[in-house]
Amino acid sequence: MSKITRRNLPRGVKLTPDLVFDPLEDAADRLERAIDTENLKRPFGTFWIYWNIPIAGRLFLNDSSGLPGNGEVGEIDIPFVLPELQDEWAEARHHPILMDLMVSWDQRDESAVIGDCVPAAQVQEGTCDWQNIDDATLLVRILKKPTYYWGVPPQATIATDDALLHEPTQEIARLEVPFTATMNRLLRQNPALVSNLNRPLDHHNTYVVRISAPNLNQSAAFVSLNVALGFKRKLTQRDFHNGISHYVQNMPLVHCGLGDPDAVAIGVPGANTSIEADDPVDGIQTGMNVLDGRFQRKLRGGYNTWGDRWPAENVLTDAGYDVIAVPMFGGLGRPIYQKDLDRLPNIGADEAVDVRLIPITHPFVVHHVLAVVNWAGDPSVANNIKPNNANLTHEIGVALLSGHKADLFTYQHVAYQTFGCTPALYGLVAVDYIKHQLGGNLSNGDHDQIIVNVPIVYDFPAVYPNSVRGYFGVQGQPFWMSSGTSEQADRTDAVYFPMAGGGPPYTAGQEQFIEVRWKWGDTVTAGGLAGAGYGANTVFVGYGGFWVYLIGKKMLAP
Amino acid sequence: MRVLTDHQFSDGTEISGTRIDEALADVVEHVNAVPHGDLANRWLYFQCVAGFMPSPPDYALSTDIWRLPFLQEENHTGPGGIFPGTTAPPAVDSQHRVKGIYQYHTCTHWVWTQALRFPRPVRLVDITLALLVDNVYPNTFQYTGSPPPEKAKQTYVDDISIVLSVDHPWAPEDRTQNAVEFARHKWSAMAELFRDAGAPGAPTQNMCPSKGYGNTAGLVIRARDLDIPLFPGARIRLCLVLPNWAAGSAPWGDYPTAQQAYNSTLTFAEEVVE
Repeated sequence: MSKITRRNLPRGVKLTPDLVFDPLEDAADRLERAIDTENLKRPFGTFWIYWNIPIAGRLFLNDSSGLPGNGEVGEIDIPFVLPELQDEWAEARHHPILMDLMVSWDQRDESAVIGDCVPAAQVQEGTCDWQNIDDATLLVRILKKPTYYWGVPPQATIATDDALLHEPTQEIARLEVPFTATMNRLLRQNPALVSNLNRPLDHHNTYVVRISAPNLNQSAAFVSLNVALGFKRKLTQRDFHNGISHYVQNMPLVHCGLGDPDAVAIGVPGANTSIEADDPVDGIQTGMNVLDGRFQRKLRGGYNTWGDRWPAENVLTDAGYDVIAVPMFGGLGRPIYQKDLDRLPNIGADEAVDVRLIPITHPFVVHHVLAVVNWAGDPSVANNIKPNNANLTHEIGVALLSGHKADLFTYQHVAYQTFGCTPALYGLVAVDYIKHQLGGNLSNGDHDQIIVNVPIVYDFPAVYPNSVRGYFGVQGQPFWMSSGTSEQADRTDAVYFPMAGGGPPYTAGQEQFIEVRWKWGDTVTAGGLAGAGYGANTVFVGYGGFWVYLIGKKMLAP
Repeated sequence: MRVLTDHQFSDGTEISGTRIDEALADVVEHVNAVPHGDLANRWLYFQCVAGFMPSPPDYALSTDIWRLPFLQEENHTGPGGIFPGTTAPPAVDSQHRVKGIYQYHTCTHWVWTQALRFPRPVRLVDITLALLVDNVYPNTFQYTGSPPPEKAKQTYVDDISIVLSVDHPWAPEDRTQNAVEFARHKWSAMAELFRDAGAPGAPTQNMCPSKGYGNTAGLVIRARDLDIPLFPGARIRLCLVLPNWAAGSAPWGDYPTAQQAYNSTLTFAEEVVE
């Protein structure tokens, strides 16, 4: 759609119905669920990506002086990508625009730095150091690199050992928080925030949040460190299910996302009849009142919190882009080497599991799930190595959960991925590879981290054809989630796990939480994770932990 | 009250091409740039998810791990308050960091804080915290063994606090001036068990990967439909406060922060933007 137009009324000519009523009819047409971003004064929806790092401590200072890494500093890198939504896949229709950058941490509400936990020096843990405050300068940079999957330069020329392509080098934004800004007793810039950055981001690039503390000493830590990026992106049309060309799993059958356009009728006088001011059928004022009434009651679009649409909708572009960042295996304050396995919770039978619960507060349609595996170790260790063993497997699952103060305790799968830890195996699902510093030794080889695709549940053609709109060309159709009433209880079919069947979703329209689980381990190799199959400097979990990203559409809400 | 134009046309009153032209211009202009206030739904939700597994309690007891990111609620210059070997200031800025914490005689507190700030106005919609337990994290959330003083044996704990506050705009570093937007104190954990005693403990359909050590369990505390407006630039602080009773008190023990794994989600709503 586009903006509506009108002809000016020229002086001295006969007033004909088309001069007056064409613009009114055009306006009425727009109000029949055709108001799009061209017609909105505020056409952008916002989304925030929020990363919480429980402890960012003394390994910041560690560097590789004298080692092959030659001065590489232990910064925290958090990579992310912003893929196009499934219905816009490879169209590059709308780019997210980075607007805001926020960083905060807990300094005990004092002009002090916080003591890290150091072996044999537990008395300093969590204490305030009011003296060495110049430690507290923090630098957050946003870097970018081409995403390996998209092959820029052309994918055919890229080898997985081409480290040049794996190191993010171009800086697009930064926020430096000097210690002087956070140590004033009357006003500490913590949280610190910069706005109006206006940096367009590309769906085909990988971005890295790089956090460093150049002056931090071996005794200090940034505790409960939060980084948030605020974006805006043009609103888009919400998903719908018609069972023919468009599919959405688990969508309320009561509306299937289809629009219920308002019927806006303007009475138009016939040709060569007089134009009247307030004729009850075709007067000018009557027509304007029809339009005005729609604005007085407010234009309708989107869903309420239960996933129910309005009757008589006016707005077409009522959906926004969203990314939910889910931290996994963070909070341990250091990389997990083979010698640290006893530090790892839930380690049993050589497997470790972490779980996150996220409440479903509003309708959300998941289009992609991605995960970041991080093997970045301590740079002062000479020979950090990634696990290279097909028996070490990672499993990542995303499911809907019902059962909180409820009778129905069950799960419905949304996405799942598993892969073995060799470059050949995870190369089949890796969207991108990230190396902190070319030649550095946070890990061996050409990458410290990978971003892997976690496909939406798929591969049951009896339910739906697989979507081809995603990384590696195949995954499931978008997956709706919302808490509903009995009105929204009946849902479109969903694929069951393990991708061998489908039907009415197990959660029966009663989902309350998203549960994200990540499990890794090796129950095959003799001796398990602690055995000789792995070296002492094998990094199982890198500094800062792993991440899961849920990417999809959210809709305008009251 | 008309929205589109101030012009009104009625029989028997003056009508002119100029007035019609102006009215049509108003309509076209408005429909081509609909103000956000004319949208019945103009908010988009976003979620800030955090969470971590602390080092297991047995590890905490034996070596250097520990309580971070939990920090002491009370600021002071005694042991545990000041970094060893450094000089203390004449006074701390904020002795107590969280408002409304019940000050038991024999109890100190640990607090996990998340601070946020948004440049545009937002609505706080939902606060959800989950304290998950399993075979590694053993919290029963019941006073057992030797309960702390003032607490009855076998009752559910009521000493967890959740506070969300906003710093005072003119005294942002004085925690006594914080505006408390949300607070839960002295609530019984029994009310927030993920699965009540007697309810089915296993899901009818489980998910993959399996946990291998039981099902999701613990406390899931959810405050929904809050709709708390927060002004642009508000400095928001979410605090989860755990008690630290005398050594040996059950269920918190010596390391209360290591008795469960943590999840938190803050859900906000923000208006569409230009």
